[in-house]
Amino acid sequence: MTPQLETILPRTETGPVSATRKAAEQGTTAAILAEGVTMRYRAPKRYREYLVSPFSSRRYTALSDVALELPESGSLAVLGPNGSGKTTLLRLIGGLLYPTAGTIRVRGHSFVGGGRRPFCVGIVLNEERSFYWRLTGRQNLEFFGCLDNLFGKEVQRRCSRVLEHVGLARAADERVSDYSSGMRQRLAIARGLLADPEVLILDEPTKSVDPVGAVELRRVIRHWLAARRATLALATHNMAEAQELATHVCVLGKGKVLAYKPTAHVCEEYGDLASFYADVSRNGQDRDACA
Amino acid sequence: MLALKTWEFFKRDLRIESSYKAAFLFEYATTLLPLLTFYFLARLVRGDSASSLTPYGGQYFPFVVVGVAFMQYFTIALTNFAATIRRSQMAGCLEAMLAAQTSPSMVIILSSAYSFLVKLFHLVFVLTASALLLGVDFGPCNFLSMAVILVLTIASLSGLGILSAAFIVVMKKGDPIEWFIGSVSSLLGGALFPVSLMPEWLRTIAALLPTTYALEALRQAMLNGATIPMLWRDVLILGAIAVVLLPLGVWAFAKAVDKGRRDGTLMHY
Repeated sequence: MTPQLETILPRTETGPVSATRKAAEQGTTAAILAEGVTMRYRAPKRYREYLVSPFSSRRYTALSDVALELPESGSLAVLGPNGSGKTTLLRLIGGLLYPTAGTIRVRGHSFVGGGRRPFCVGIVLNEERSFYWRLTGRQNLEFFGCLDNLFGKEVQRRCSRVLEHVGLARAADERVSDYSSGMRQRLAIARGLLADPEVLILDEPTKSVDPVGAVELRRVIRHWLAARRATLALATHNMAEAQELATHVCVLGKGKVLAYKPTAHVCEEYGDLASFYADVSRNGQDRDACA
Repeated sequence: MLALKTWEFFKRDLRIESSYKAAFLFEYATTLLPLLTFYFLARLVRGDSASSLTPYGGQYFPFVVVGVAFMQYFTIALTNFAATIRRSQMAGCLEAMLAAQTSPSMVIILSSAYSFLVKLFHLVFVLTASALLLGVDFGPCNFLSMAVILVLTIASLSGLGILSAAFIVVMKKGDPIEWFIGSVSSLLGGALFPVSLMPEWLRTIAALLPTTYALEALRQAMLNGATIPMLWRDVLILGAIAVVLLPLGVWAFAKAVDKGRRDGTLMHY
């Protein structure tokens, strides 16, 4: 391991267990606390395996021993190449997946085991296929609002507000099937913000949005974060986006945390996130080569 | 709040289904066509076989109308929960729904509200058409008994239906419950012919199916005006099945969603 990489890898002795204790002593709760989180997906069986090993299952590892602690007022950007485990980490934070090993707590609460959530989590993932295409944007939002216990005039008022915020007010009553990819992405962000969530999870939130629209959406998210004192976890390939929205950055590589640092420290040390990311990725590759 | 949520689910499905205008209209025609088939078929079924129809008034057409119309309705309870899950998986909306503050079990139950209500209209439509146009006499019908049996049957079959949805969450396709109960129920449950016509060993299998008791009780209520005390045996059996299967189905579905979240396969289809 190169000395430089050693300084940016999360150290276990200052890791989450002591962080939990420290947080408890100080009476604060970490916004996100991951301890030894491993996620191993079940791989589909082949016909032959049903005969040869009917009771065993094949799995592949998407995340391995991830540990990080995001302070109470922090927001997290997860960076990394395709297939590095970014979306898996976000799904785990949002409770859409349960870890194979380890624990993950959001604002002191674990979602494992289901049950009623003590606070609302807005999740924006894989948006091309997550709406009813025969309904209008507004009708979709009204339906998803009811799942978060919003009804009647309240949901209508909120729908109008978020649609206005994401720039879809004029297209609100058009069918989602007539929306462009960028418009569906905007609608997804509107759905994420609809219930005024305490925690917002965004997977590449502006990936198909035009550059001007992306700037505007980031402004909306930033304002919302400030007003709501909410927790944000986002995955992105856009360094400017990460730098603008996140107080902390986590770089993943092949399912492992390569680096986890406050954004301000990174910018102080490297000038910008892009240089930091390039450095971490290069060192990660060097380490793999040595191994 | 439950009523408001049910209404929102109903509204969603009504909007989607009514946007397919041709299908929306043809559905009623499709419901009526089998009725005509059985009307003409019933003209052939007279004579020797009529003795097995004596407990139901002696005529085949009223017998089969009740059997086919209600069996169509019962199929909804058996298949709709699994179909809803599969549709949501394929449309990509399942994950978005399960991320909200409504439990997965509630999501699946409410997702079927529209189908139950619309198919109830179909059922009433078929029974009315068969009475007004094809001369079936529902004069003796005991509506209270009919309603009680209907509710108990839907509750017990919904238990199986939700269990079936749990299989779909885990196995994605090829659900054994729907296959077995669905296909065996229509054959052996007494929808098209009296169970008493079958050999003893098939009658034993038929006795394991909730639809056998449901159709028997419904015919007695609708064609002979049987009261609830007269149908106590069927009411008791259907009630017992509902009490066991409904919570079992909801529990199994919650477990299946948990498993999907642990294995990371919830959104696979």
